Amino acid sequence: MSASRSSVTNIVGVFGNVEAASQATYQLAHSGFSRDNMTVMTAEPYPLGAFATRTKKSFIHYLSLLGGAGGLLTGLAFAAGTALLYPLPTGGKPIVAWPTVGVITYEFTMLGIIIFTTLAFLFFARLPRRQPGLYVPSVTAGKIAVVVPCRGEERAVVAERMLQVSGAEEVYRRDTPARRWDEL
Amino acid sequence: MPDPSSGTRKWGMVIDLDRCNGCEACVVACRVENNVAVAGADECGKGRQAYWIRVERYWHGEFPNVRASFMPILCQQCQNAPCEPVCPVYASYHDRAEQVNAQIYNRCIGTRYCANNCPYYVRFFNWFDYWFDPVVPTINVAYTNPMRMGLNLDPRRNQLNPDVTVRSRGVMEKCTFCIQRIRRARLDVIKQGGFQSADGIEHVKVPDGAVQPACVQTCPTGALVFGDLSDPESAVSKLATSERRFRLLEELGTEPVVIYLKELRP
Amino acid sequence: MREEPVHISDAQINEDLTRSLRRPSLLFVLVILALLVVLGVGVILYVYMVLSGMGVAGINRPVQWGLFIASFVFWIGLSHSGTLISAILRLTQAEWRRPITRGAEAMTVFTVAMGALYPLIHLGRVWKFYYIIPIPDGRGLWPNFRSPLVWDFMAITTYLTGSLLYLYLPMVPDMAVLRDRSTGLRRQLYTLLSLGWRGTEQEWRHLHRTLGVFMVVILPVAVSVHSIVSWDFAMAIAPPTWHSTIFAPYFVAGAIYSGLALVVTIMWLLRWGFHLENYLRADQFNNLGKMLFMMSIIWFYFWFSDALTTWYGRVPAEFETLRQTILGPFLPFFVTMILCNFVIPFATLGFRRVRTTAVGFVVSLLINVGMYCERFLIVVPGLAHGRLPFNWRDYAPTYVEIGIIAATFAGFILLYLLFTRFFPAVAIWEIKEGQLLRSTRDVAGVKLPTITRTE
Repeated sequence: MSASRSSVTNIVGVFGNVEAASQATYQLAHSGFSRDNMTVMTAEPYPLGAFATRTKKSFIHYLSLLGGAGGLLTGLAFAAGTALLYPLPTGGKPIVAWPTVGVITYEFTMLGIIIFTTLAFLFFARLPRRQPGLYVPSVTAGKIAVVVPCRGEERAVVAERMLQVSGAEEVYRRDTPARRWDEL
Repeated sequence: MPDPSSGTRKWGMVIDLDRCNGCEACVVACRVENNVAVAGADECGKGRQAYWIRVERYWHGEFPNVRASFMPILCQQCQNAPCEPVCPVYASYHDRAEQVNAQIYNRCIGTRYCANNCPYYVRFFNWFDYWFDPVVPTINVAYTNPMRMGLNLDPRRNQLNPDVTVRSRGVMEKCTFCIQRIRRARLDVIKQGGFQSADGIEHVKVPDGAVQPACVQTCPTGALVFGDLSDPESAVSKLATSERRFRLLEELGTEPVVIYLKELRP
Repeated sequence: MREEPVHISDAQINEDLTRSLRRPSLLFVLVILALLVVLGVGVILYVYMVLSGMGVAGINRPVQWGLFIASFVFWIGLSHSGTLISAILRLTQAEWRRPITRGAEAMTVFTVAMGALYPLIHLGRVWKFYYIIPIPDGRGLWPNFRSPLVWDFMAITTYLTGSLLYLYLPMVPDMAVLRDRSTGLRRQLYTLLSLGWRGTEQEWRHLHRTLGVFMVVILPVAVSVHSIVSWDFAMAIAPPTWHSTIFAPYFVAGAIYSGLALVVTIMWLLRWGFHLENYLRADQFNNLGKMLFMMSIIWFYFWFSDALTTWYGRVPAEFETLRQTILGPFLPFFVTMILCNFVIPFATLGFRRVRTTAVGFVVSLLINVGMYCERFLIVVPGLAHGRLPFNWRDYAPTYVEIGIIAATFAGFILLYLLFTRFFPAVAIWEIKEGQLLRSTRDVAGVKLPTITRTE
């Protein structure tokens, strides 16, 4: 992993149609390119398995639950806790009135889920990013970009050729500082 | 129920409708005592007049055989007051010591929810700054221009009772059972040396009849009686057990401490 | 209107759906200026009201809540359907939703924003509004969480946050489209808003999961918001007809109804204004129209259940209020409400020809006229004719109230128009995804448009 600390060569293939791009990724995977390291950029979401790339499962909903739990406790603290901090009787009703505590707690729980889900999305998708990293602007115009990071010239040439053979409209190299692969 | 051995009271009032002749002296007395603003004829016409106690007049029968009946209505100081829990900022809450329904003007933000939820219509909103500017409605310069704050020459200012807050525009106000008089009576007891405890002024025992709200003090027919409902010997407690007793809109479960007396006539 | 789906290339979709972002027409600029004038007048009237006192409005004793609160309920009600319909249709994977979601979500955000202004507008001392925010004051006193108004504050905060994020998150990929196609200041704006979105498979996967959570969470939030708005009334025991157990579902039904009607109105305007004939097709209007038809029946059912109970029960105060509503001074509003909310939609929306033509647009506008009357009739009669007849008093709004309310209408239209100027009103990537799943199948020689669905 730490062999080439300085930079890594990425082969970028830009495809005009999805079948060709899909085929290219599967062929690359067959010839030993890591499924985890390849990246595919698209303008619309494709079903899982359309490309040979492997994506990580999303754990966002677990953080949503965490947010919900946090919201619940916050709601309890506000609705029941603050009433106990400064008890003022109103309307002959109890200081901690559970039905109203329920309403407030419910809203805080939902707010917690909403905020944590958003934060989890940003965290897991590594957004917002200051620099777009390796990006192909024609993706938003309907192209599909396949990015293959390669160690060593030999592999790079192989990848280049495979992309071209699969029908890429454009293939070029881009060097990026070597960080973790998935941060591309 | 407050502990009768302490000074904590459950203040209450009895209004004997068979004695009330609708003279409205109570309305005037209350206005003077509590700095209740005069809204002016135009505002009255729009339903913006404030009177912490009012005399409702209802007609019975067809002309010429008509008979009027009068019903003084003030804040019923409900023990389960609907106006209290709806206030988002605790401007309206129940004062534990005096067992009255308190309104804290400087906390009020003017949602007017309490007034909507009062079945007795005894909460009054300050639609304008009545005391500071005689011309209504105009943009109030007393607040916007600090130079005029000290130069308000409205002569009505001299009539204000210094014991009672003057309410600004945008806040709700209501009858307090003349809480300033209750407090004054407690202080009087302390001054006479009748109280030696550090428990707080709320625990001072006040003799029956020592406190009289302005309306009660003024009523020429003695229709209004005020006192401590937790003391079975007080005048108000004795009257409150009368066979003629009823409470206004009792079916709503608000537990008012204002008790009306009225003989049922066939 | 009979339109078959046509296949459009990705580049053409980008072109069509960003057309609204280009140089505005003269008419558009004039409309914006007119709206700014109305808004400005409203702001001036509001400042006048704050400086002089609430008395310049028509509210009085006992009608302490008037058109301001009716408008509040109206706006919050309108907000209901945008997010709700988008979430329900996404959840059930209804394909025809795709051109509607963005516009509906934006509608929710702007209507909640307008609705949320009213609790401030109607405050007697708006300069002390922060007393209601859950922070302790100098003496350690917090707001009273037992008050339905604080529930309202929390619910609206949650809903506004949720619907704003629910509008924004699915818009991130579209911001990337605009980023790649714009220059100058706009490019900077879209670069900021696109958060550096690249469209990698991993990003799409996270976005799908996030939206999956959001659409499940936003539904109960939407329902709770309007329930809590209804509880502002239903928790009050004093005004007759307010203290009703049916209020929460009745308000929710009315809210879905009026919100759906506004979605239809807006969709027609988007179709005409930005030439989206290939996107907002008969399919969309037909289905939305059916939903409106259903909601008109549900709305009437709720209203009738509530009114019948009161009418039959003859509890004096409640019955008198209902009688004043139906036969008394509120008769014109009542008739408008029943005509616009039930009779007209019920009689017309059963026909496809109404649902898919401009008549459907007119009906959708009428429904909201009726719903405004309904909100007014919920708030005012119970206050005006309460339990002690000595205090009865009618209510008429003044020019101050009408001006301020007109300003919020102008504000909503203004915000929406500006939104369409800066953001695509139809979700670009959702349309592209939809095309991906659409094909034509040959069944015994008949060409059938077919939708493929995952799972």
